[in-house]
Amino acid sequence: MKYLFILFALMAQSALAQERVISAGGTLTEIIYALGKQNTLVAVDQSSMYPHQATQLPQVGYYRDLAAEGVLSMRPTTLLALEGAGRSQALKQIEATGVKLIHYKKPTSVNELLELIKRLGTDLNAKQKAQTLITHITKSLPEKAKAQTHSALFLLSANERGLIAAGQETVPNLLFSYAGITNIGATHSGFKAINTEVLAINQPDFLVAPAHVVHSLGGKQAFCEQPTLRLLKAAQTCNLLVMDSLLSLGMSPRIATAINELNEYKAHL
Amino acid sequence: MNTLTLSRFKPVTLSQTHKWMLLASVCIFALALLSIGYGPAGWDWRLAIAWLAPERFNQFDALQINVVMQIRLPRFVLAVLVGLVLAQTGASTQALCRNPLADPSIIGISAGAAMVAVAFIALSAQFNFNAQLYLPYASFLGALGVTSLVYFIAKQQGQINITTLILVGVAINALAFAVIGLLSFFADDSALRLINYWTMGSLGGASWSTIIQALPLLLISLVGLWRLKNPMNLLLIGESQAQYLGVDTNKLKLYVIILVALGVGAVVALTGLIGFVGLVVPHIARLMVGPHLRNMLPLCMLIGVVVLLLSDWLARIVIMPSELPIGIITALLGAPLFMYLIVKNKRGWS
Amino acid sequence: MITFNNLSVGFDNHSVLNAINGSAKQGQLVALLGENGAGKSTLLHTLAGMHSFTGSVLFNAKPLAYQAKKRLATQRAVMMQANHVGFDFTVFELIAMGRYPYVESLKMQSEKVNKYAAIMDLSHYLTRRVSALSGGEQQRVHMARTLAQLNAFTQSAEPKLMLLDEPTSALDMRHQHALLSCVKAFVEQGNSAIIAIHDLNLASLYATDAILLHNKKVLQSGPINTVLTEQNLQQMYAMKLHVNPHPYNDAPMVFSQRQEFL
Repeated sequence: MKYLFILFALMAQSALAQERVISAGGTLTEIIYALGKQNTLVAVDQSSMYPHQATQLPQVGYYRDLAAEGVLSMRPTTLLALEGAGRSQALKQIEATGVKLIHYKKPTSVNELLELIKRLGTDLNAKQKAQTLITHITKSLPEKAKAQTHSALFLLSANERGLIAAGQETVPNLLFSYAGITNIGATHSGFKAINTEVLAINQPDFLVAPAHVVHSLGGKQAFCEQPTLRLLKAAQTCNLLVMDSLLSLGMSPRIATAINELNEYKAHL
Repeated sequence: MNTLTLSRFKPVTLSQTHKWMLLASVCIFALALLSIGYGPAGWDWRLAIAWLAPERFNQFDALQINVVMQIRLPRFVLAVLVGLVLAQTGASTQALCRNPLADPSIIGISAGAAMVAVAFIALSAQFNFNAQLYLPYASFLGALGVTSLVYFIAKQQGQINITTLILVGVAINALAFAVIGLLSFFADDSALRLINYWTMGSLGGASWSTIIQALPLLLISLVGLWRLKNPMNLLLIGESQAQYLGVDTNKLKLYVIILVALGVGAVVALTGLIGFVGLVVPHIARLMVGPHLRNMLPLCMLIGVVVLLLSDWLARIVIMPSELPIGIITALLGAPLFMYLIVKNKRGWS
Repeated sequence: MITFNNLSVGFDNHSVLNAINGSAKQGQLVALLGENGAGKSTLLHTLAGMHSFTGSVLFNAKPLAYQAKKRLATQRAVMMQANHVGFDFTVFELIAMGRYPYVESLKMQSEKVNKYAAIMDLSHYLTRRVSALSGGEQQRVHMARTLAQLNAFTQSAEPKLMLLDEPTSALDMRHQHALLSCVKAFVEQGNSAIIAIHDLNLASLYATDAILLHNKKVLQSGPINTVLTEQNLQQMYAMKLHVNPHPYNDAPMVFSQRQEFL
């Protein structure tokens, strides 16, 4: 009986080891690692930047424009596709060769994120781990702030062409609302350009920007000294919080970390 | 260029043309083997023939054969068609405008197609429908719409004035890029990405179904312009002379414009914007065999195919398993080659 | 041959030629004379079938409007003053373009091209680029093309027409004579030609007839000896001119005098 059990476990193990998974979507990749299922991962897309090990894997293009032959050359058994993955023609071709294609909706709230983790847990045979992760997130998530104590603006880009700020229905907006921060950019929805004049009247207490943007402009100081931000008091005193790009732009399991970062920064102002 | 060795009683550059065409055909054959045989999913020239009789080639598995038949072969066919059409429409536009620096983008056709497509993408993000599915048709309608507008404006007293045509094209280009810029500025991240990928051009969408859908348009353009090559050639010595020689130039210009719009619209719909080919490939052909369309056009079309096949193959393997946009490769390949030919033939432009 | 009656031509409400008559019959080389802006080019364009008009134009006894384009192209050809070709064709290719209206094999076309190149003494230039030739040589190429278009110097039942607009203005003396003597030889085969020309003396040496255009009308037309008179010329050019016979033949030569500026 004991031997039968071991045999069975071995078979299950080897069956799982045969799984070759490609993840198209940074959020999915991060969750896969969090669930400890990265040993099945053979390739990822270009937006999968966290954790660092993911960037060592072969890349098959950006998730919105996957290279069909590139994907197939990795001989996947499964392709996990985040909402918006494409092109649809390439996905059809991949599916036609027998690859299992699973679509996942992009999470826009904490609940949807937990749903996604649960689904991935089921699809990757890691229900236990998924539950643990969900519990962990729920526990470490700070209580949603009851009052809005500060105001801030999340900038996706700031250059001579103007400012692109996060509005409603974005991840930064969600993070702000959890941390009790008023989003100055909430007059529009999505990531859109915002008029600097409006900001002169309605000044944010501090600014938030993703790391890759700040880095490309030459660092925190350089970012604050941009002419387009001249009128903002927050830029003059360089009250800028630089956040990890994927953390601030995508719904990730580390959402609690993101919110805590905001809370800490708020407290130190 | 050695033309003086030919006997005075033979049409002078015909055998030279044949020599170049043979060379181009050999290149195409080699590139066919290269592009169908070598790629991320399999790196062997025998793949290029294995699909004909898979049982005889045991070293390749079903997936590889499938990749060849469903991905590489359609891509090869598309590259050939696109190469032929872009080269031919480029040469035709140059004949129409009597200017070696003209190409369909000058008359505003590509920009018009792009403008409508980008507007379509931006709208799809706004109203939440699938842009990718209907994009080709939007782009084709854009090309046709712009062409009609341009033609209508450029028509004076029943005649199509070429200078006006070019000027209107310039205006349309300015307008289109302003609209595209405007839309990109207000588009959200996902729409922006799609717009970028579309304007950079790619043969990645090649499949038998999309090719068959676009085939009638492409064939009409190819056959139509080919049959008009002799009268089009006469436009090169001046419109009035063409008229005196018996050409109905108004009808000719109209047909050429429509056929060019059909071809370019269909290509842009299938692959996005691939620049450079329509402008430079006719130049290269001209530098080899002279401007007479009887020699130049067939060679020009073959060179177009060579450029497309090579560029697409490189786009696929340079950063395997990812892909580069083909427009970058065509420019990187074409520009130095073009400069080399100019230096070698310091006869000047025409 | 071509005849026009009651011909009126205008542009946008302003008339250029008013009810004029004239003709170029077989064997006639007609010089079209007149000051700048008198309407010579317009008349040529109209006779070529490229401009709308009122009145009648009969080409080989048929109305111009009813002629099929390609067939017309084999019977009448137009040669302009400066034929700048922006593309690098070879002499052979350019002459061959004149054969467009004809349905023939490449071999036949090549024979024809060689024939007309030989007539214009261009046999050694066939593989050269036209743009590399001098002005005079280029006009020879265009003449060869025009001859090729008309299938000139072959046995033909139908008379052909050549319309030339200032073909000699940019040429040196030797080439001027070469071109006009060629047209003369063409006309003497039973064809006709109408040449708009400024050089009155050249016209006098080669033309058989002349049409004088002045004030939207035909001042006089007929054999050139009778038309080129001091009285007519004074009226046309508003200056005193002298007409004397040529020392070695009976062609009327026109002499002008030095003018004072003010």
